[in-house]
Amino acid sequence: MTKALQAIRAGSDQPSRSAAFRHFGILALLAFAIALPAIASPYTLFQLAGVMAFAVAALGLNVITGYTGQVSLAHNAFFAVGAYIGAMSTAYLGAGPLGSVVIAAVVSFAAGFVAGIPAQRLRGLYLALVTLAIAVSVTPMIKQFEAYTGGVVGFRVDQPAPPAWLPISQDSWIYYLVLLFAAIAFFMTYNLLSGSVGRSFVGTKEAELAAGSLGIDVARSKVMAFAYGSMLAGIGGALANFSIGYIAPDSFSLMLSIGFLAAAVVGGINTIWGAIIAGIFLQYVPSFASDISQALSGAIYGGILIICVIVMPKGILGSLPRLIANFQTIRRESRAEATKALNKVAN
Amino acid sequence: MSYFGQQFLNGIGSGAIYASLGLALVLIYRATNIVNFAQGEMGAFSAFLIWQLQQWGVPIILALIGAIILSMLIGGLVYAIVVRPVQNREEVTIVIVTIGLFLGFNSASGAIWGYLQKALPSPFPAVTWYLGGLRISGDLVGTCILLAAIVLGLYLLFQHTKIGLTLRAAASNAESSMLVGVPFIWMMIVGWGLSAGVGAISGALVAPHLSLDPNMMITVIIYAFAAAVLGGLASYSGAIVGGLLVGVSQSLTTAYLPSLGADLQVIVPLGIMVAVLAIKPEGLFGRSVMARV
Repeated sequence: MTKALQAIRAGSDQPSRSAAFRHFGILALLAFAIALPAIASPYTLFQLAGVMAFAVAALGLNVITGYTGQVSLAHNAFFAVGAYIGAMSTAYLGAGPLGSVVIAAVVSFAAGFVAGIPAQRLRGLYLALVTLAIAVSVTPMIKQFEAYTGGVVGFRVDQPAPPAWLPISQDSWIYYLVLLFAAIAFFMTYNLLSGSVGRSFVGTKEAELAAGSLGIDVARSKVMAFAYGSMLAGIGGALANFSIGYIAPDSFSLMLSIGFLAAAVVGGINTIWGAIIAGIFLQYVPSFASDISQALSGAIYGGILIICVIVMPKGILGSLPRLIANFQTIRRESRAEATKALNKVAN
Repeated sequence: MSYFGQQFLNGIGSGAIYASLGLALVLIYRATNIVNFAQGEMGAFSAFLIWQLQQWGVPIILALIGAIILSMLIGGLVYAIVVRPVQNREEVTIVIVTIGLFLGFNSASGAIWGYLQKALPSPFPAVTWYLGGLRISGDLVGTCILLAAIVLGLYLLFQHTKIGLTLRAAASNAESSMLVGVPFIWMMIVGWGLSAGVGAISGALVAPHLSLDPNMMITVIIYAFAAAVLGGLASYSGAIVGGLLVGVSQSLTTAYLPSLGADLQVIVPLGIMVAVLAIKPEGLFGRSVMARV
């Protein structure tokens, strides 16, 4: 009971100094991201657009698993829904970049809502099993509906081109579009989670029965978190189309889901901004790992996952405050010792 | 009729294999309250061990026994090193760790033995009986007898021996069992070892049917999950019945609904699993669990 109360209260009384510091950090990061195309190579921009698309999707997993405590192995499914719906709305309906992302978001929200309904009743590993079933069906389903999805061959997506009056390259334009959507997604999620909705999510995770008896609609929290997180996965999928311009069923296998989970855990699954680290992880680690050894890339992934869970359960970002606190304690202690030593000398 | 009968028998054959891996899942769930997503990959690793021993000139039956013993040691070690530190954390964490193990074992098999497909002979004699137009292979009979022997062995172990009693005590209440002197960690190690042993048998049964490669268990583990869930995840006989149901339904849908195609075959067991979880999460043989507030 007290645990749930604490969880629900937590966040309402954060020190304002660290909040201001955080806001400054976010603004600086955003300014840096906006200025980057001036100095970065097209290839770097392409990679960073990938980082941001993955980060938005990973943020969705943080909401579902980190905040609300529902294990989802089906994140690949909603990423695929977003990518394919985005691509098909561009190809068949002639939707622009904005339209394709919005349509992808709506459809993946609906898909997540439907998939989230069993989540109301199932906890822990049972939910993991249902989402595992969804995850494994994705690739066969895409291959089955060949007529619309292009089947095994894949699907080419028209990449957005900058308007004629804007004198920037296509790479920069795609980068800015992805940045815009990613910034909106993060801002929206930050606002959502710092309010009462976020606290009801955490309450649902920490102590379901207690949260329910405090008047939180637990079932609704679970389904909404699942649908919202899936929507972010879908937006991520649609954004990935912009820079990659091509989708094929085998890139949405169960391995993608496992990658999302690993990355989210490494970044800090209970945090919002850890999703950015997750995006970096998903974009860069697979290629680094396969540089070391093709066969061992899975072992490296798995090893990182296990070590991270055991040694650093809150992920990189989640562990930062503790590290900083430790550092400050050490500094305070050494200062106290130094004062003591000085006093001794003075006496 | 004989076509139907043959398809039915084929379904029993593959169902028995799913049931064997399902048994390993149930065993580890009952002994340690963990669902091991890496069970299939550990079984594939064991199948490679059999193949390796056989390459070194060990006869197949001895290679099988040697691989089972090695797998049990590996299973116990995996618990002691990787799982024990997180055992008391929330379920999400444990699921994530076993997924890490899944990746680790999968690519360890690939790194050691490569991704080229290998042939592992069946441990059973290659005889075929004909019975009223039905073809019954020695493999099918052997698999069913082996499965029955495993279930009987597990039943006797858990219900009629002292170590079985202590295993059950450790699984049902960690703290109380430790207070009465049960070496809890050792019991968990034994539980993981036993389940890795059953998983090794399952790997030995799967490999002759498919060809031996690091990814051979990825679909099998899904069917095994469906089997275990159908049986309630905590019941040995449930896992057997579940495995046979999954195998038969898969074989019959392939035979009579060819329009589904090879890709959508996997949807059948998944559909069964989701339906069971949505309608009757405690499965056909399980009991519903009360939550403590």
